[in-house]
Amino acid sequence: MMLRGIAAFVGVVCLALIAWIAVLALGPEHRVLPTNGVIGGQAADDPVQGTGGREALDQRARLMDWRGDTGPSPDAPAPQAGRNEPPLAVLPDGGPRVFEVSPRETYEAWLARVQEDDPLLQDPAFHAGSSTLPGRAMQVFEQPQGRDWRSTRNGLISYGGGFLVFGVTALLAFFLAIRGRVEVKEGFSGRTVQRFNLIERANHWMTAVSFLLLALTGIVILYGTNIIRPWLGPSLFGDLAQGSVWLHMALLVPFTLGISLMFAMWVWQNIITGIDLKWLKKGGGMVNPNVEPPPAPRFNAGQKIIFWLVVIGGFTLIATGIIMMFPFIVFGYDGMQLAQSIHAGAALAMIAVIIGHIYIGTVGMEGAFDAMWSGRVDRNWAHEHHLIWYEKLVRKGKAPPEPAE
Amino acid sequence: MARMKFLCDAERCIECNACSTVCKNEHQVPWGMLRRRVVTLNDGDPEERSIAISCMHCTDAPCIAVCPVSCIYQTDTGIVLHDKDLCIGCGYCFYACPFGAPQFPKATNFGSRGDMDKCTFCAGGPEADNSEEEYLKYGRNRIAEGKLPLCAEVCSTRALLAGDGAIVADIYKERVVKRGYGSGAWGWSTAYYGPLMGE
Repeated sequence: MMLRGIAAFVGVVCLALIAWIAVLALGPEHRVLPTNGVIGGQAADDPVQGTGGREALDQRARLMDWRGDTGPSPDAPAPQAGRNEPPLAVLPDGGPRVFEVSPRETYEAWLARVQEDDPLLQDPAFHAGSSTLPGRAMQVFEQPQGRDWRSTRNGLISYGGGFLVFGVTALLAFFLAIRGRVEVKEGFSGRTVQRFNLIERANHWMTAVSFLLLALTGIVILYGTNIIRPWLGPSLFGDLAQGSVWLHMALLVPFTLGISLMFAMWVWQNIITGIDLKWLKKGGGMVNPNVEPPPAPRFNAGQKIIFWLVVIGGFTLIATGIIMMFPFIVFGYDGMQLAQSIHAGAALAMIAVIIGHIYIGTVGMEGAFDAMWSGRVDRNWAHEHHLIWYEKLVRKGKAPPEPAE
Repeated sequence: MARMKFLCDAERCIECNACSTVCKNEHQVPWGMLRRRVVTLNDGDPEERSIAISCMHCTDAPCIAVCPVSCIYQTDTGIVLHDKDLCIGCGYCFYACPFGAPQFPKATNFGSRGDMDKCTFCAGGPEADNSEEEYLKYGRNRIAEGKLPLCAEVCSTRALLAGDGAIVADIYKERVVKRGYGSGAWGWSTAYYGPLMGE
């Protein structure tokens, strides 16, 4: 009962978080407002505001005018170059100047000039030509889709990821609260059979630890500035983020190795067959406690689905990640932006999948965790959930034939 | 209210690359990084135009919105600056920037591409104005001296204009009226009115 109570609580918390994310997502898109004066401070955190001496800058801007008007002429006043002005941020009274109007009003005033500038404006369009200066993508003059990529990353992917991760967690929590754990109906026999050997387990945990760290460091990169930075402060969070991007890339090696070995070791046992459809029709005997678990080989349909999602998702993440490690070497703007969007989207989907996987491997099902931890599962568990595999073990003489009392 | 902008008169730019060169010298920008560059569109055609481009100091700047550590910020005069001490060199600002402004010391991203560098509108960074520290990280702070960006002030054909948006727009409009032609303010719709363009 205790477990179900905790599960219900977790589910309610997740629903509250989903509601909060929905409020954020349905609100207007976040706009960048000016925060500082030109003498700065640490980004937006310690703003010292104000620019004095704008008159000097405006004077110099007018020097760029038509020479016929501003050039030396007996009638026109001689142009003034605003030299020897005091530093701009220092005002006559020495104090910092604050915004003349609020940051929001400043932003709106900038946009309001669209009427005056309208005759000068072209339609935003992609323009690329050539440049004699070296560098990648230097020949591109303008790529307005940068703004679209920003909206996708900060909108669809960020909020969508939140819905997905907390949504899946809420579903599982309520499932646990209503259904309870999937128990071994015959009870534990005390006799075990080998399910995963040492290499399989070592590889699983190497991949698992890599994935967890990749997920956490990835979350720092995608969400950190909104959810962690306010708590740690800019400097400490900067260090955390720096460590995260380094670790995120270093973990490419164990993660790639792990996914590749998993694929090589388990692919033949994960081919989808007719048995899997029957298993899925009965919900694997897990959804409804009164349904007998249908017979399954070593991997049942649920595990096969996890396997293929991990393999496809893993290789997608590896491929897009490698593309991002060599920016603009093979792909241009479109390719890089797409790679990042796929990487972040697939990563969040993988996190949701793995939450489900962790759930069923630990609290969701009695006796399942031992399979990957000690490598040995209870005979009755194997008999109940993997009958076809178990019977094969019996034929090979690796398992006791009779249910132990 | 001053709102700093760049405007490149494409009919006047002769691709001499003086803006790019003088910027590298003024700010001691390292090898392989360009705060300003000249792009030639339709090279060899009657439509050929060269345009000097750098950070445009956008309104609702996409780089600020995507920075994972919020190291980029905007001043009340529209200048987009950044804090190199916080930058993690992820390169996302380059994906988001419509004008290819952010530059990185390293071409590949093994952990980090190094601290991002970009045009500061000659306004330095968060450190004290024209301090040694600021100069080493961001180059000279001409704004604090009451001067406009050097690329614009050095431009021999007065193609590149910098300063308050209203003033440079007036100068350009007057020019178009006097000479009778002009292809508009390249990049302005994306840079300064981007939030309005999608709607």
